[in-house]
Amino acid sequence: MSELAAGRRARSALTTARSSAARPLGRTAARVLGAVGVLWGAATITYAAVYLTPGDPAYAVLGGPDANPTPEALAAVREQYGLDRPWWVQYLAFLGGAVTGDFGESYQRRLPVTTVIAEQAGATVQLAVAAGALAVVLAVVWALLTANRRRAVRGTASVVDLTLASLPGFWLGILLLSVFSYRLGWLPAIGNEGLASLVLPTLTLALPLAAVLAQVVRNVAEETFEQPFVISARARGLSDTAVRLVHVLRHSLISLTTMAGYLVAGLLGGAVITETLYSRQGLGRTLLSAVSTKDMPLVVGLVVLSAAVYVLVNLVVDLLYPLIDPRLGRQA
Amino acid sequence: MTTVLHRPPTAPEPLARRASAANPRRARGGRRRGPGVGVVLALAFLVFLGVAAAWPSLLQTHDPLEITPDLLAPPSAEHWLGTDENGRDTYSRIVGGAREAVLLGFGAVTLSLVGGSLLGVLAGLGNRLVETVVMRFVDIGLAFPEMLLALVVIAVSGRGARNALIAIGIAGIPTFARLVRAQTLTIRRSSYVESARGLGLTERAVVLRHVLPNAVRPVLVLATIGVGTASVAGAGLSFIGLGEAPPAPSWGVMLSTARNFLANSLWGALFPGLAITLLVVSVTVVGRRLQRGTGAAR
Amino acid sequence: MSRLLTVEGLEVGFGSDAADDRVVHGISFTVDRGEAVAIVGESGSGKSVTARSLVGLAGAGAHVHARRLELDGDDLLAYREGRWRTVRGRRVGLVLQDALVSFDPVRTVGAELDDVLVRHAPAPRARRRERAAALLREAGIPDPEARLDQLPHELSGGLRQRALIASALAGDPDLIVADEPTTALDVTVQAQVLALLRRLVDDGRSLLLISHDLAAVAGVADRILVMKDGAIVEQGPARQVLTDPQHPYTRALLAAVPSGASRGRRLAGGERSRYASRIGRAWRSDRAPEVVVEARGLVRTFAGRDGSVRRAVDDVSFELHRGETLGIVGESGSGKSTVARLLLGLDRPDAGRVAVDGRAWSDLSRSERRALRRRVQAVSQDALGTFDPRHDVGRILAEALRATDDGERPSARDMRARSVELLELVGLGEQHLARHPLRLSGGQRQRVAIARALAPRPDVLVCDEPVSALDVSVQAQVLDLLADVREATGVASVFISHDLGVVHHVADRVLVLKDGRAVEAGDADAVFHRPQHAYTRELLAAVPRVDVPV
Repeated sequence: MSELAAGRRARSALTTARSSAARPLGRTAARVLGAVGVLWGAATITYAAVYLTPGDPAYAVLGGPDANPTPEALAAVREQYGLDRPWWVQYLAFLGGAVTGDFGESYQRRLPVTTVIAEQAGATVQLAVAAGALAVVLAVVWALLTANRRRAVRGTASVVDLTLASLPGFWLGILLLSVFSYRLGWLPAIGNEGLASLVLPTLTLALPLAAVLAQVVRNVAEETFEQPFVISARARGLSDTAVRLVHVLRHSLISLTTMAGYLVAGLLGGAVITETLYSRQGLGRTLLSAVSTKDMPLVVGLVVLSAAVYVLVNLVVDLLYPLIDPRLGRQA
Repeated sequence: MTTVLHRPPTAPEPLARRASAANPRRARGGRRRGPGVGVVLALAFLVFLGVAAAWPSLLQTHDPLEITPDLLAPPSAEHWLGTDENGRDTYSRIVGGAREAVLLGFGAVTLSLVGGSLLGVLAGLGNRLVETVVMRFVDIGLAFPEMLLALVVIAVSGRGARNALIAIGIAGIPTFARLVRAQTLTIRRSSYVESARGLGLTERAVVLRHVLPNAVRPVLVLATIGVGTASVAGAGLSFIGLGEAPPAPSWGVMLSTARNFLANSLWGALFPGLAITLLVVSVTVVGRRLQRGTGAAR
Repeated sequence: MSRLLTVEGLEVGFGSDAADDRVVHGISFTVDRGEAVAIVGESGSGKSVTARSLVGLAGAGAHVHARRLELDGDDLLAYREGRWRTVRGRRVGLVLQDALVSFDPVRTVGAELDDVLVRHAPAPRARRRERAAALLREAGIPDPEARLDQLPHELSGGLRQRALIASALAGDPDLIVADEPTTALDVTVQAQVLALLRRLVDDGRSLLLISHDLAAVAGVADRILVMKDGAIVEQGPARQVLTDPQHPYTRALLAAVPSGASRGRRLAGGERSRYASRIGRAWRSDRAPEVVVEARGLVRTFAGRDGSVRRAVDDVSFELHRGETLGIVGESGSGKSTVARLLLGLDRPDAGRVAVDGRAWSDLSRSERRALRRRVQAVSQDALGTFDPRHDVGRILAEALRATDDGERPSARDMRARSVELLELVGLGEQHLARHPLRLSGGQRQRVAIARALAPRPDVLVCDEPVSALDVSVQAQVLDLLADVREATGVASVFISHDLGVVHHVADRVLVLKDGRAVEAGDADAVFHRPQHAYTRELLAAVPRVDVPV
């Protein structure tokens, strides 16, 4: 039980760090402001890229380049969506809308973008959270079990990591589908119904991410094992298991925090492919169809949303990092 | 300035690992071992892909577009890797798809590398104003998950193999820019640059002789590994219908059609995916080997 | 006294072929209860591996064999991992070098101590905490309760090392094995930690002290073992080994220790570099002005994280005359390296000025500063770090030679000849031209660094801890080389070191720095023999001494 006691001790160290890390309020404010600035830049660039490229959005509203709308219909659409106003008026309107969460109306669905997003978000959040959690747990457990073992174990483990990390998600998904849906018939191949339909997409999304995270954790773990403080701990009588749980786990988790951004990016990007593969509802598939049909308000809304999530996660990690790594929280 | 914590997906290890100094055991093992079986196999596969990309007909057993009545066949002497839903030879189509994969992987990474290095060096060597402006743009670029950035580029420029390459290449620029800048800054502060200044070298000579070569080299190695990620991203775009259009042979498209026939046959989906995976594994193995090589040199 | 530890025929090897990769070749020694035994040796002598074998932690892939390995009558050879854990911390306590890396940087000192107490002295949590505080107090740490909740980096080096010793004592072991416990410490702190170790022995524990420093163990050890290349070459009572060494290696080691007594003498023995005088004559810097460096009222401040201002260098003035060596001594944080950077013109003072050959850095244009840089060259502690990782020795020297002559482009052949000349000046040869610095030993790297510094034929060398990372015998060679160079070329030098013995050996005049201020300056012998300032006296008193018969 000594490991647990030590773990509690370690956590009390964290609480001490928190109180002193709260001091540089100015730095926190600067970070938050910076994140807001980045987000504004991201929205602006997306908007500029999407709306200032050649091609009349009014055609996209009326069924794409193949449609043959009447001039009256075009004019009506331009009027309705404010496309006849000067670009800077449109931009300011966009920005004002974006601040209040209004990204206009989807050309295809004829619904407010926010409504479409709200309707689709649940499925994607479910998938991303499940896959993210699974990836982290798998990575930590797997890396901690295999780090600093005999050569054969280490070699095998890193080959497994490398292979899994190299698997394209869509191919992994196809293999899983083939085995568990078509051959064994255990799990549904498509759709959003029930927990069973979540299993394969979650695995598809989580496994390659877990493998990449595991490589990072393993590297840190192996480096930690080389540190003098581990030799010191062993020399004080700690067992190998205790060293893993007390020292190596802690350092691995610290390093894993820095990967949060990567993880979120992987989940958001992977959702597009996974949802398509399994014909699931969700933001990823919505984005894909919006891109395919040039449904620009929806594209902009979704991209700005995901940039916001990504920036927010990075900001939170940035601000929390000193609490997680006490070395940064309180400088001597 | 916001420091957006973002690790390059392809580089779990810190750039300049002083593996040899910190860890004599591993360093010794690394030096004594030759290229190793893994590296040789990886190189062999990459050479195979190179030949397939340059002269596909040398390796093809069939016309990749030739339709035969032999639908969804398993591997056989006639069709080494089986046939697809139109009876086309899977092996020949994989060979035919190599060009897209290789061009996309290397092309996209080259674009990211060149763009990223220019920005990174500019930020790393420029004055405060230049650095701030460049890094703000990089920060904004980093605010998009790469896949989504690629989707935006495609949304704007339209689908197709060339646009997929540009999209993935652009999406990688911010990451490389950040790496190169960090590397440049570290080297500018290193004691060998200081001692070069101490010899009275001009700032230009210091930058050209010491800073740039040392900043770019580890990033070049990383780029090797990035080829794998870029190929997967490219195949992914093809898979969701935004890359190369059928019937041209493309690994992503092959997988996407094979997905519809999974209930009948796995073969059509097995081998194109295997090809992508082997490509990624191979460049990673070679890239890591190069990384260890440069690591040992310092 | 009864026998505590018996080691007979200990062999340690790494790799698959134990005979091939052996680092310890069948050594035998004993430690009695209440006895302090020191193992002294240079890097690669196998002393650390020996120490770690005694707690069953020789390292991954190590093969440990012995005829006998007994602790208090128990045969450790028969122990497996599980039983070793009853030895570690409980019966043998291990203290490693530099507690900054020997404590987990993200855990509090209290948590690290508690690990041992939980295992070896189980008690309720509150009691363990009391015990931990008591241990810290026993190790001489003031305010122990507060220290328990601090992280290792929040403690000073000395306190940290004491805390590490406390953690080794937590399981109340009979034997303390201390592996270079004072190497990373300032001399005054080192004296305190050594005194603490000696007190533990006087209280009845046994100590096995591993060190590279004969002088450091002199005041602590009852017996000394001298190790070289995995074998014990000499052992005996401390006094006898130090004053009447039998083995030539021990004698050479003792002779290599620089001090006031060794001034003007060659430390490593042997002849002066043959080439030194010939080449030196060609560019004796006699043309240099009488005062080559003048520093006036130097102040350099750094802003702390919390907005505070630290005066790293605070009103320091001195002159350096042609051909003279000025020693600057001080402990870590005394500002000596900042002074070096100011002299080299790599950093600007907030107040005061540095003039080289009568020209102040601050008065010069950019290109004039560049030209002046060649007149003053640097040799630093980490030679490897000052070499471009892509360059071999030839390119390193070529760059330095090319920087010397503006406009003039010497032919490749001429360049090569001059590079070889430089290498021979520093005791290396043509065969080293194509080598990469990584493939050179520490001493060879430092020689290349010196050769490069000499390439522009400077008037001044600024040496910042140039021998601090080297073994004592290599240090002796490099110090001899610097003396040769100085004699042959007449180059003046500023020699910065934390090691008073080294400075006394090389310097004509000395400047003592403390917290950025020059507390004492003067002729080397005068300062070292008749120190005026209290701090200088404290420093000198802390220096461990061997009374070497010369």
